[in-house]
Amino acid sequence: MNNQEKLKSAIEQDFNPTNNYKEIIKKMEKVRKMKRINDLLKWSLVPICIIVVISGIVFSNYNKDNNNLLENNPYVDKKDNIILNINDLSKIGMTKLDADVKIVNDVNIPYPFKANEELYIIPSDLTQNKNFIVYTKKDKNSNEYNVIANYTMLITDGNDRNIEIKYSKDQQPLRDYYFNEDNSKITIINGINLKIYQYEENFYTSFSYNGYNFDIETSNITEQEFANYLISIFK
Amino acid sequence: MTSQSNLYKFNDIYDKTHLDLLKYVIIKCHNVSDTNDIIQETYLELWNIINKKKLNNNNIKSYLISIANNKIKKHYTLLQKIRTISIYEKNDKDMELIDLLEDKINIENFVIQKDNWLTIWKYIKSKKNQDIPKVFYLYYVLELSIKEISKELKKSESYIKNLIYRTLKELQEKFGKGGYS
Repeated sequence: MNNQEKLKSAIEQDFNPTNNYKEIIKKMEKVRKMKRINDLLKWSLVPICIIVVISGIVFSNYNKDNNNLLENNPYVDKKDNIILNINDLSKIGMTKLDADVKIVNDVNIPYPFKANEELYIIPSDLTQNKNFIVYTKKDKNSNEYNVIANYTMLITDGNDRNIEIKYSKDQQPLRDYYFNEDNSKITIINGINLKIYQYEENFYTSFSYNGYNFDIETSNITEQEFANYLISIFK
Repeated sequence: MTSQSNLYKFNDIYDKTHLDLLKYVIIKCHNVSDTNDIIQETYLELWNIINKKKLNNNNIKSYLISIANNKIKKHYTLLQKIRTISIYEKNDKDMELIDLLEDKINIENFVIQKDNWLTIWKYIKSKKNQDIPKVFYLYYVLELSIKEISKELKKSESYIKNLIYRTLKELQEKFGKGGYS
């Protein structure tokens, strides 16, 4: 490569369209998340049931040479001697996913954990708790939203830091994100198998526990806060 | 229209317009380092417009350029604009000398030993005279001629040649070894 090609390559790297695209999608996703949390909090002020289209993300293999291999960034919890295998989604792209649902708030929902909530290590600023039931239609042609997709517990600071716990008895909770889990590394905590993912400031995990299928998604929660919370569930 | 089909539409527009928008923003912005931010803000605005179903498909490129123009205006305060107007130290003798040079100034004649061109590009971008990174982008990436660049930037050909010559010489002194060959 001659000097001109080297300089050209450096400049093109700086204005890389793929990187710019990823940044744009990331910003779209941030706006979407903030809107969703704000909407949930707004709706939860009064008992209400609303029908919405939730749109989410599909993490996909934007870079073809990536071959969908997820990098693993292990987190070591020295206190409990547990290694969390965190599968890194930051190098793959995203597309959108839509789901037509009915969300009911201010309802009693079954409590999915074994111990009381007070025993779990939740960041002290996440003081607001909201419960929801998400319903879907039996099929596309149906007009009734009568199938429980999942229960949702939202623990939030009322702003952009939150933990969303979705769980369901008979099926996987409805996700507003999707990615290929084939190459994911498993984490085992007290005999429970978990798949843990990270995308920027968001952590995702899925596992089965206490007769429920769980998806937990966090926003703007640090790795340590996420690890503390997760480990405390299975103690 | 679902947000999924909106995204396909967005992706299609992005693929078709990104390079043209990049060139436009680089030429028009006050600081080349802001280019990516302005481009991202422009496409985010486009995304909002697509979702509000207010997109007129007739001339999407011109439409994007007008969004980018607004973003550039909003990006800089008046004070920043004044600060970033830079005056390249002119040396009339040099200008005359450079006018005698061939239009094609060959970067290969400069022995730049440090093989980190990202650092060199970062250095070029940090120049007070932001015409320098603009000229380097247009000349070495888009491979426009001196004449074409002078039209794009509305500057004289001598000025463009002078910028390239002086900057290459400076790069040689800062990053190279053995002097100009």
